[in-house]
Amino acid sequence: MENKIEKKEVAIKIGGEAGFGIKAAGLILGRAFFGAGAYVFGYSEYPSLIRGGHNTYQLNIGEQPINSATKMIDVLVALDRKTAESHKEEIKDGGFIIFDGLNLESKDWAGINLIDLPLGQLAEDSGGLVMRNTVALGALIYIMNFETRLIEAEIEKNFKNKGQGVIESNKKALAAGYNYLLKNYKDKRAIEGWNFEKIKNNNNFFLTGNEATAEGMIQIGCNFYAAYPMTPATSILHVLIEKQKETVIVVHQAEDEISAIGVALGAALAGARAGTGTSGGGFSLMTESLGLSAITETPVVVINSQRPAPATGLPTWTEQADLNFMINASHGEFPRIVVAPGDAEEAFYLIQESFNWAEKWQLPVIVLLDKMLSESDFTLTGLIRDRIKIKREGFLSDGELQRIGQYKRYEVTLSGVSKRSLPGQPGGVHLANSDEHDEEGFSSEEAEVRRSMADKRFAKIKLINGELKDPELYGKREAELTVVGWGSVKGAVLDAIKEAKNKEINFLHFNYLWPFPAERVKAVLSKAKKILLVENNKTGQLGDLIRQQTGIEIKNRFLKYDGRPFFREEIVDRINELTN
Amino acid sequence: MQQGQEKFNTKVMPTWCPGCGNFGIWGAIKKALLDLELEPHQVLISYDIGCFGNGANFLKTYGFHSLHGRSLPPALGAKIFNRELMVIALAGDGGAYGEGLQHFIHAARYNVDVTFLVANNQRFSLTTGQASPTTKKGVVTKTTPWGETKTPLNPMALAIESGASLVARGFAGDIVQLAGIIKAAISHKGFSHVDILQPCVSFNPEQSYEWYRSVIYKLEEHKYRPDDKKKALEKAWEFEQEGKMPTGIFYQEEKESYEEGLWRMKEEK
Repeated sequence: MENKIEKKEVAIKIGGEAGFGIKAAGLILGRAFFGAGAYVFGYSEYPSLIRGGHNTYQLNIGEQPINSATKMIDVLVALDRKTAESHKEEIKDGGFIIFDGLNLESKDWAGINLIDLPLGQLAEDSGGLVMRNTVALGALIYIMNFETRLIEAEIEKNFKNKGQGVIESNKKALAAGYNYLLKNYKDKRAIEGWNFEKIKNNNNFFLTGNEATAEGMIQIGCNFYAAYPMTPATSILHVLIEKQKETVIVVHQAEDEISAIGVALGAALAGARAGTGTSGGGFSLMTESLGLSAITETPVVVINSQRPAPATGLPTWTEQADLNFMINASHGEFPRIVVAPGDAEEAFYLIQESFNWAEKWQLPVIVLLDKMLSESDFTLTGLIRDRIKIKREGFLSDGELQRIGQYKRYEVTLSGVSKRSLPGQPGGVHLANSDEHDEEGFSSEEAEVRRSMADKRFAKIKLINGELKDPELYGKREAELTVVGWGSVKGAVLDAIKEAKNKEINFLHFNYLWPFPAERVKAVLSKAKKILLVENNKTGQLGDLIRQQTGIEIKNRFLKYDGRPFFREEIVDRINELTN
Repeated sequence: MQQGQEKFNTKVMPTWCPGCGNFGIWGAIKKALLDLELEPHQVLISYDIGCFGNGANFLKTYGFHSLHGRSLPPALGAKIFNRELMVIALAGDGGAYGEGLQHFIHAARYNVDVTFLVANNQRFSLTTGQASPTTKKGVVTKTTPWGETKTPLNPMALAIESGASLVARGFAGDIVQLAGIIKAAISHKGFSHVDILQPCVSFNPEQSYEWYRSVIYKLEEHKYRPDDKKKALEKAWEFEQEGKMPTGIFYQEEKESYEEGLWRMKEEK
């Protein structure tokens, strides 16, 4: 039988019950390939439980940049029967399935290489059943012709807190899997060799969107984070808590999300660069305080990592259905900024800009992630740590306060921004007031005061508009088809366009969603020959927003709302349908 | 008025009803701050929404007029971030024991060094007199035309059980005692809760100044030592059981405050 894997990109899926170490094994493999110079994209699917269920982790590994997961895979590691049955149709012709005595009938698996590997036995021989995943890793690297010592190095890193015994057992299990294939499936080595061209340097990282977000927060000097655990935002909290000793950040786990944002606002009032993070449900609880941030002009950055909703929805799956909500959340009218990174690299930079902007404009900045972005593993190359400078603006020194004499916290200015004093500073005493207030901060119900304060707050919009970047147009200005999307669809769309390389396709991708960049969008889309909207939601929220803001209606809509992200092939197919 | 207190006045005159218990609380806070030799810029007060929340405009310190039920979270955030600040949170019984009850219980449990003053008039008064979490059974209000049927919450017992390290009750009609309690609460390192009996002349005529004076007595005049949790709980239930309402400090213990512990561990190598 043919065993062909095109090494420009190999897709591997490991599946089994929660607790089998699926993601752990996948990360060891992914990190080893990344370290060797490969581009790696990791994507996980799991239900909302701790033991049992059905979990998968998929790695797309290649010599060229990879920004998304594919539907079709080259190798399936089935640690249980459910995995073999559920993902059979995803294995490419000439691909592999690694399993342990599932009595798979070869007639049902035509065109697929069956590798019956005694995972359980070899794991137990090496020291314990729990290492079935490591035995499978040994088989995988045999098939993929990858260096054992690089996996061993990752095993050492991964288990360093568990002691030398665990490390040695895992190395033994790895060798057992490898040697079993060498002995019994010698001809199943599918790749001749790798040639990684990625320049290895200290500025490349293999990170999830959440990890990149947390790294960005540290980089930009965020010194206060309050949150309540909620999937898929929780790992930001985990990373930041770990950073407390080595950096300036202080982290508080609050009793609920209402408190989390309230605590963040209090810290910000006292001078912190403060943020909070949650998913849609927690954000719903925070909405009243979003307006509190706006009217008291207290900066805060709120991260919302979306998951399918409403209510509890699909807690561990992905969706982009909170866009309308973010733009409109909380009662009344007030200025805000809404941004959505498209991948981990953009998350690293955008979260930093968000913290600068929150203080510059003294308002809430919302950073929209989603499960796909938060929990997938991205290869980041050439990251420039200090590309975004820490800008702490809008504070008055003790000396300045003394010179001012009669300080007005909410002084009406052209920019709409009035400088802050911090509690503790003499001469700056004021009331940060959730009631409508006069320039000093005292409650006022006068018509003229109300009007001037609303105008003052909204004056910020004009300047923000000038500073936010326009949506990025990837590809040539002239194209047969223009794809439009925001946030995490970026990777799948870019990879799909690359596959359709003989076609003229460009991609208008939104990072900055509010204030809405209407002029630029109008300029690009009014010239587009054919437009395809790609959104991970049911109703095409960006499409509706574009129509509302520009009058342009996008009729071709590829909307996905089954909790899964877009896989590359789906977008390729849709592109092919719309082009010649 | 004690000389010097005017430095805590703003240009705005109080808008409370003549005879409102809030005047006494306002005066007691100013007296406590003055006695502690604090300057307006050294103090941050986080306010709830309600009659006492309106006091945000009349008290000159750094202020954060928060949302209904939410005066504690911003107070916590400010204190955790800047331990130098003297942080007070204020609320009424609606905000403290209703809308924001969870924050009260958890702030007590964390033992964060914030002083929580609750003006308890047993009514929602700024919304013109509805039953609150502390309204007594049988009482007729706009929302309980047939008499309140729910059991009132016992803030003292709740604070003690939740882990507050200073729990006290004051009376708005006794500014000298109340100022002393507030001083002790501010000076105490850890979460202090002061429930303040506040007559509402407009919507709760039954619990008038005279009525309170007929049932209250001062713990400090009865050689009471606030170092025993069990005894403190007995005092918390005394009115329900014996019709007498103690005022003063019910309970106080020394333990590390939340933010001190957090920073200590953060800074430990």
